Amino acid sequence: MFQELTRRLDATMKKLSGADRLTEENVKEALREVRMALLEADVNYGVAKKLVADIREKALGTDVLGSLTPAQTVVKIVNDELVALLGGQAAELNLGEAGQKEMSTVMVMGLQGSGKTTFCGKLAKRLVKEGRRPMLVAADIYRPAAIDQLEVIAESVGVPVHVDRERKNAAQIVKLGQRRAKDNKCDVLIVDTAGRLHIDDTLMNELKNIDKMVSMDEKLLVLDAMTGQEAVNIASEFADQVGFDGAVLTKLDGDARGGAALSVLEVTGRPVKLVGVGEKMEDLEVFHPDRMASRILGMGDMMTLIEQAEEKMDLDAAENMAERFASGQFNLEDFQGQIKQMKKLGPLKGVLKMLPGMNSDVLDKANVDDGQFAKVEAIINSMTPAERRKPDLINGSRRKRIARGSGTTVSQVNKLLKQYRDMRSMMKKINSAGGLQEFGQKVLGSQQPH
Amino acid sequence: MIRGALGRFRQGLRKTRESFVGKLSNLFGGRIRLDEDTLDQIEELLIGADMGVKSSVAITQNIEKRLKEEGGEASIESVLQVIRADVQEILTTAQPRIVPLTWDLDSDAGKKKKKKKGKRNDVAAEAVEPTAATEGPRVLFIVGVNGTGKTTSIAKLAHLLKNEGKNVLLAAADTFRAAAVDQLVIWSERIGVDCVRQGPGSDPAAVVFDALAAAQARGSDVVIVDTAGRLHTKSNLMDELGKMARVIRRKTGRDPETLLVIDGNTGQNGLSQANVFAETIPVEGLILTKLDGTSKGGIVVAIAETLGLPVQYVGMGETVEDLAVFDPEQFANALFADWTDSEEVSDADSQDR
Repeated sequence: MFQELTRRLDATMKKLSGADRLTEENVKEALREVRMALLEADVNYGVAKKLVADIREKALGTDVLGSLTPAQTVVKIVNDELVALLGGQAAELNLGEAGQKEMSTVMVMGLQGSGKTTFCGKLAKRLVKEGRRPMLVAADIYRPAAIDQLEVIAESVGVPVHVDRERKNAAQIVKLGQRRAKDNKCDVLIVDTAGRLHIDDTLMNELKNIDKMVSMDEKLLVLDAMTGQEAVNIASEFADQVGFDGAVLTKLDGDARGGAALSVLEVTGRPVKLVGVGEKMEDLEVFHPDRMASRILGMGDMMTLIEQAEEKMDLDAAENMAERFASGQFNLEDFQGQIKQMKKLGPLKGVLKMLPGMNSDVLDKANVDDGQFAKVEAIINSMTPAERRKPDLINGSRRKRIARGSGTTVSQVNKLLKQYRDMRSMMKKINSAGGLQEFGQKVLGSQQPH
Repeated sequence: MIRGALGRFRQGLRKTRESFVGKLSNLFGGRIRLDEDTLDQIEELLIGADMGVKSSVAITQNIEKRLKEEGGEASIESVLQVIRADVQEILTTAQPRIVPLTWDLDSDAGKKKKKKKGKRNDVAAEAVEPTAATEGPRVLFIVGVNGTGKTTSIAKLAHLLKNEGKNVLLAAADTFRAAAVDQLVIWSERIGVDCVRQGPGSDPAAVVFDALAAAQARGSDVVIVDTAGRLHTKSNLMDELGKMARVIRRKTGRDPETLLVIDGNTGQNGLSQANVFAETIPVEGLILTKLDGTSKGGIVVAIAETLGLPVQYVGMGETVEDLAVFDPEQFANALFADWTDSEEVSDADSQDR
């Protein structure tokens, strides 16, 4: 686990291999590396400093356990400390039970461009899925076309939206929206506010007014995961002036480490509740402190990958296929199905990135190309069902036809068929050598997160 | 306007001055002694401005040298001078040195290959031979990750160029985000420039193609192309950007002037953003936005140092006037304004207004 940090620590701690206890002397360099890793992940320098001091205290005098290197011991302490700091457990929204009579209110606020409007849409979609009846309110009366944007999003997730292009008072608009939501028997009101700077007194007062006019059950601060050292100032200003119950970290589908999450927690004590992980309306996830800790320390996110796989892949189909693989009977139809399943997980690079040890450097060198998928799919799609089921049928003239049909060349078709045959014979070998299970363990063993 | 911009910048900084661990004078009481703690604190101050670990360490080493030369002790002013000079140097000498990975391959050789294959989705790009001459409008191609302020910056740029007497045309090629086209159209009406648009979801490269044709017909001087925000990690969206850039190249006979918009609040991820965008298309420089807050935008120092991308414009507010040509000296001064005496800054503020 934490391969990148562990590797760096290993280098600095090589000389003390054999040490059986962490001391002031031997952890000094290691703690410097930890600090650098945190700073590079945009953890606020003040927070990083405090964290390193805590870690030093915990580390001193700790015995190096038999199975761990000194570096691994330090990393374990760092990880435990980060997870503890990030809140230990996922925090829920204060909305009460689905189906309750009382209407809950949510106010969404943040800087310009942090992703508030998109988040409002995602939240609405999530609440609908939970069996609630949300209504959106467009309270951004400043940015050109902000109201239109929310309207389009509301329509795409199929929830009502209250807009008011006449009034120039956000608090009033929200109040009227609340009334309309009650009339329409909605149970959650989601207020999309304008982007504002935390130092803009006029606009911060506007938030206070809205909060006064319609008391909020849940105030959420939307924060861009790419935010740097400023996260501390932003979060503490919003906390002091308007107050918030939780944060939402957006754009986590990029490669930002998201150290800002740590800063928010440490400085305001408010948990991160939800994270945005894509441009589609369903790309909203619950925040998992342990995964975030991994991410900040530069480790892949296996848990998210596994969860995504469970959610998006058809498990029965996958199991079925595994059996056919195991028996060495699989054909190109299975191959086709497999590609379809893989595509559901999103671009291959994104999937690979979640594996530990995969950083952008490695991926760039690996030259991952989703276009290859498309080509292989096109080739298989150009075959007849009979050909897919019995690839041995495919002779020279069939190959030509397939190549023409898929816009590829005969040699590309040949290549695919060869890959298929290689795979089939490999599977047969594995079967005779002790079963798929053992093979799977061998492959996966090196990738287990813990 | 520049002075006003600086004043606004400082005004923002003043707000958090008290909470900022900052002020060297408070920390060290006038003179700075050379010891590990002091250097660590200076390094932290630099990192706190998002300048990145590498740049911060390099600058701190310079300070260490300076302190040694001055006998282990120096005045704050001389330390600040070292820092400002270093930052200014990095920002002034920045020259793009990232070469797009496939750009040259895709220009002439790639064009022939594509023609043979006749890719269906490249219709716009194929429809016209590249014009040989480098005449025709300047094309500013505005790119960046989501929410950095591309559309607003375009409005400001258009306003700036229009005031210079240029005939400006906007191309609404963000066909992805809901109401992005409307947002640009509203801006274009406010500023009084034309805007070429198609329906939502249409091919952005086709919008660009249309806009360039319109610009030629109307004799526009500058075309500014708005693009959808995209995370640099999404390779398919980055490919789309390459396609749009190639359409511009074919139609005008030269590369677009690509400006990458970086949010002033961005941390170390800004480096990764700049790197990937510059590896995809030739990026000329940066627009640094949202400097009217408390953020220092120090990430551009790291970007200039490691990737050589210079900052060309800074955005500092929500009105169309709030864009200024970037001035490294002014930026370096403002970056550390809250480290020096606050009296001096307040004076400057009142003069600005």
